[in-house]
Amino acid sequence: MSNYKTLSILITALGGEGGGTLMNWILDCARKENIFVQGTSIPGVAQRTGSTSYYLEICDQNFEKGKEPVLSLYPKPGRVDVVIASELLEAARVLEKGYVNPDRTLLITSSSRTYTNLEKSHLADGRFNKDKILAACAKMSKNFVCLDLSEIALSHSTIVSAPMFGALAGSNIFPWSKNTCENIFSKNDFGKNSLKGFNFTYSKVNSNPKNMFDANSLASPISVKKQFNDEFFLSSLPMELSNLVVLGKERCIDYQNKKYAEVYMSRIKKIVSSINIENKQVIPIIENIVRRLSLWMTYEDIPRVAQLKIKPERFIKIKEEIKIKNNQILMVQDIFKPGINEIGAMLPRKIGQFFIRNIKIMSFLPFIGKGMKINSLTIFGFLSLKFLSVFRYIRTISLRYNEEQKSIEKWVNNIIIAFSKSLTFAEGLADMPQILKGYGDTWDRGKIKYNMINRALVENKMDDINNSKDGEILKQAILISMNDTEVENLEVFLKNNS
Amino acid sequence: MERSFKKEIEALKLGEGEIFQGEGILAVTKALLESGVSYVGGYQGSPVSNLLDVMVQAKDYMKELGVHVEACANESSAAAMLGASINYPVRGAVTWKSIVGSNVASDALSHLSSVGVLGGSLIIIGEDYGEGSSIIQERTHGIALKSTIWLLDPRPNLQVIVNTVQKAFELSEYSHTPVMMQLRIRACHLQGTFITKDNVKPNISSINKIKEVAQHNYDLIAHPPSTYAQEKLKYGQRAELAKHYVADNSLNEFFEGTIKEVALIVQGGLYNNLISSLEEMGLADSLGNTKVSIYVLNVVHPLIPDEIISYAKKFKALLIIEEGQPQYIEQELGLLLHKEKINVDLKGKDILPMAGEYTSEVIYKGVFSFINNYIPDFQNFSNLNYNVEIDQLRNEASSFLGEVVPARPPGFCTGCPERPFFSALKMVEKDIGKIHVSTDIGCHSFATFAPFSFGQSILGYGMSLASSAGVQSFSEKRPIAIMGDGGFWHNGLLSGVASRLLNNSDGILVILQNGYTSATGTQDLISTPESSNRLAAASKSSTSTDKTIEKALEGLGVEWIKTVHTYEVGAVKKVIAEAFKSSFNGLKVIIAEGECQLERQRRLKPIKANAIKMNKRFVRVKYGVDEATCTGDHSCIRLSGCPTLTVKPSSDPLKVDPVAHITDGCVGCGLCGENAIEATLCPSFYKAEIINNPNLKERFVSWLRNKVIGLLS
Repeated sequence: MSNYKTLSILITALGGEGGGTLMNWILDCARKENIFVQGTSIPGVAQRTGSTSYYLEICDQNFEKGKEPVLSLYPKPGRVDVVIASELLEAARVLEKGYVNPDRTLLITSSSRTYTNLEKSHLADGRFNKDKILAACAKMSKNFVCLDLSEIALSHSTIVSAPMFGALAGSNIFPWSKNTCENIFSKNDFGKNSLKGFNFTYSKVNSNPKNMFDANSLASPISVKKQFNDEFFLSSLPMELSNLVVLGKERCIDYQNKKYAEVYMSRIKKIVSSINIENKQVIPIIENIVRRLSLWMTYEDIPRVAQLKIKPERFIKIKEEIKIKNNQILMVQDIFKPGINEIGAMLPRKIGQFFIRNIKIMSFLPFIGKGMKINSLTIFGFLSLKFLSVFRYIRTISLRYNEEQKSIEKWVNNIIIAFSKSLTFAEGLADMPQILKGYGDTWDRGKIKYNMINRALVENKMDDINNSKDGEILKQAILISMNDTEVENLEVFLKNNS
Repeated sequence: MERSFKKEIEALKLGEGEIFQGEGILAVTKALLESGVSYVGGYQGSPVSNLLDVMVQAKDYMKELGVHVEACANESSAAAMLGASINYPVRGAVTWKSIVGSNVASDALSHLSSVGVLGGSLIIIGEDYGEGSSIIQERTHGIALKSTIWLLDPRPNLQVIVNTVQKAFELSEYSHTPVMMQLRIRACHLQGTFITKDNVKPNISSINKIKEVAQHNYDLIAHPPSTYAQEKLKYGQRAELAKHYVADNSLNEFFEGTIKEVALIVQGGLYNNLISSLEEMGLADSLGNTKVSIYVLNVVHPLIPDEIISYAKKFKALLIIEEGQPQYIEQELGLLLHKEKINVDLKGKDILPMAGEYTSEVIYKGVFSFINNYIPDFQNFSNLNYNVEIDQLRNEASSFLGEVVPARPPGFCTGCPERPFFSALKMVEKDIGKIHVSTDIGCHSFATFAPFSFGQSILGYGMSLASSAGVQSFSEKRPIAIMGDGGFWHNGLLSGVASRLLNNSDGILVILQNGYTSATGTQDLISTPESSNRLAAASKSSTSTDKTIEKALEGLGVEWIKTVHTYEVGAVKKVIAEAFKSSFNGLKVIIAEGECQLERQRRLKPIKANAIKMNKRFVRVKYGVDEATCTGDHSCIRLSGCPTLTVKPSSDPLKVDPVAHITDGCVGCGLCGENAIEATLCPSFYKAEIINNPNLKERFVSWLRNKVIGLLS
């Protein structure tokens, strides 16, 4: 029987990311060191952004031609020594397939996520639970190394293969020296950058090889700058909730004025006074209500969008994101297509109604219902947006404002009633405004769904909700409307449950 | 095709006793040159694309050797090319992805194999089966059987594969029969080594031309009455010759073990998986020493009755490890053993799974239960817990994860010119209701996945229009057929367009013209833009410069042709709507053009690098989403599926749901902006133009604007 050792490595990545490059680097090292090695892959169409894998077996010596060992072309579940994933969900996929063995496998994964279409298409939040993946990785592997390989690659202007290679080398798994790895990189700029990315990860992993856990996924607590004259009320609330309330208040001031913020505060106070704030179960519901209320009260109409588009902070943020340098000039072109409904909505009620009623005539006017591309960093573009933002001063007499305030008021009142009857129902009701999302068609459909649910499950039921069942049905209805863009499924559900 | 194979081409030039390091399919390429091949052809497709790509790029070296390389328009033309070896003693090889390629080629293959060959004829088959496959799951074995083409399935080891190529030519010449060598996906991409020989310049070649043509010989024409004699030759004389050659040269291998009761028969291509599973059972070591006897069929057709009979007589039971359906080998052996009245238990698909890839885990299960049946104390010397152990690992992992990991199928690349077309189609569908979409093979079949989910059927490469003919006849709303320019030239022009014109029938065909057969690695087509036009276009699309498709359609007599640039979503929408509304009752063709983004990015790279190096003006376009105005409804994503248009956690604590976000990978194709306008989505998208090394005027204007805007805000 054999007296040599093999090391099996499974690389899992997304097509086009450079998993093949990493495999080739490892192969080259082994060949340079005169070590018997075999690798294979299934690129095919998976090259186009799908999940794909590469598999290598490395011996610790070479063999006479014709007397080489028979190496496997497939990773064998439970028998892989090292698994490295360029993306966190792909690590989960490998776990699911049984390749990671707690008695054997070193698992290295990037903490970064590239969301699948399924996850990112969801109307609310369809992301796979990251913490569950991290926990599963830690539990299922012998050693677990997790760091943001994607970020390291980006900050070193290289591809993810370089930090992946560094992490492997830093784990001291290869039967060759670090020097051999370093010599793989070419001498051009890309090679130099890759070498830096390699070294960065190498030292990070090498200095702490066991169970390295990058905890940057933890959310930072909310911080608030100043508090106004509601100290007494706010201090009666738990810290987190009180901060949220203040954020909402600031948002309303920015959106309209202090008077409008007072309306917001009075709504919050009304709700809070109807409940027992000591009840721990109530707090997350109230937090949700505060969030939804502040977003709803600062709904995005044309003046609001224009106002946000010309804020100096916005351009600072864009420049930061793009990492603009001194020898670069930034041009920003904003893309709009305000519909007639949206224009009508920002006008005084009567005029707005006239506008919407005569939709056909209005569509002949220039700009209306047509795509616009405004260069916001030119003087003309800036002034155009500034002009639109001025409409916020007549917002309180606008068509939409009136409608929204009515709906908000109803919702707030219903919540207060619900709290006195069923916590589950209140919980569902708190989530209702999330259906009212987006612009144009999306918003229209959201509104239709909201009204359907409101009519079927809320307005007619407020008097006789008693148990949590009604609340569960309400929650279910919201979930259905967030899972599907069309209304048909919701319609069926409501028919069967109202 | 601008990917460079410089390193690979060098490997083709290695001489006697040197060591080749690289991929399986390139080892085959090298082996062809070592075998003195005169001509090579084929049609691209994973996993064999690289064979042709490298040879096409190594044009100069091939010329030096006198080897003719032909990039064929489809597999049928590749197979027909082997006809050169009917009359002349020249070696030829062709390659394609199978089963699909073999299907397309089968008419020519039948004729070729009926007549038989004088010069060695080899077909390199990329058996696209199992994980990573992109086609229907069928075996090439059936084609080999029905046409009498010998089928080799060598062990996945580069040296064995290379030796098999040499032997395949000899077998072909000895038995006057074409030979197929099948390599599975992982074998094609297998990275290994072998010892090279000098390349052999063919005696008859493009630099050593013949003076006289072959004699007219009716026996060599696949036409009656010759065909009757040819049938007898095929199944009689040629088959006997082949069996002798295979036996005399020991192409199949016997690995003898110590276990007396049972033995295994395995397809050569599965040998490594079998050894790996036997290792787990403690029945073999990784050097291939085995306790259980193995008969490795490196030649799966023809089978060698004498070898099988004497092998079968030694054991109580045999297990045949044969991947895919139907189990041809098992059937043939069963009949043979029955007729020979040999008393042995024959097991196969009754123990191993009917369908799917035979990985070592699958083989482990089958072999274990097989041996266990015949050797009562087997459990005492084997690991019987492997399957239990693995199931446990999977269950544990699944319970920690809590839900099934969402699939990540392949999709359109960032900036792909085909995505905007499907965005537009989705918008049109909103206006006119659901549409029957006959789809096709190519990158555009990614539109069958979310978020587009288009397509009622796929019937083959270039078959979409043909497949919508029946549907058209009974549908109130016109169905629409979509094919790529690859599919159009491969088959669609004749099977689809000509057929529809012949019948004077109604129909809508969309040709997505991206300039290449992109899904197979961006190989050239006859409508690929001229290289000068591509250079001039730089990072822009250059497909509009080529009118070959329009001209071909006009020439055929298509009256309604509209060409539209895919990134102009509004225009695409309009033209689709027009085709549906049109009172013209003939074939309506929309050519939606936009060049493959992979090729454009490959072109852009050196331009960008140069601009940065020389401090020249260079503009980068990137799109972005304003977090402040994004409400997190993700409708933009549902209309696009662009890899760089994704979500991120909102930095606003008041917003719970993740917001849309465009990553740094954006290539600035502009689709998200177009969609925002055309679908009236939202005002969150912006286009950022980053001007590197701006000129003086730009600097001044920018300074002035900053000052004024600073004062205004």
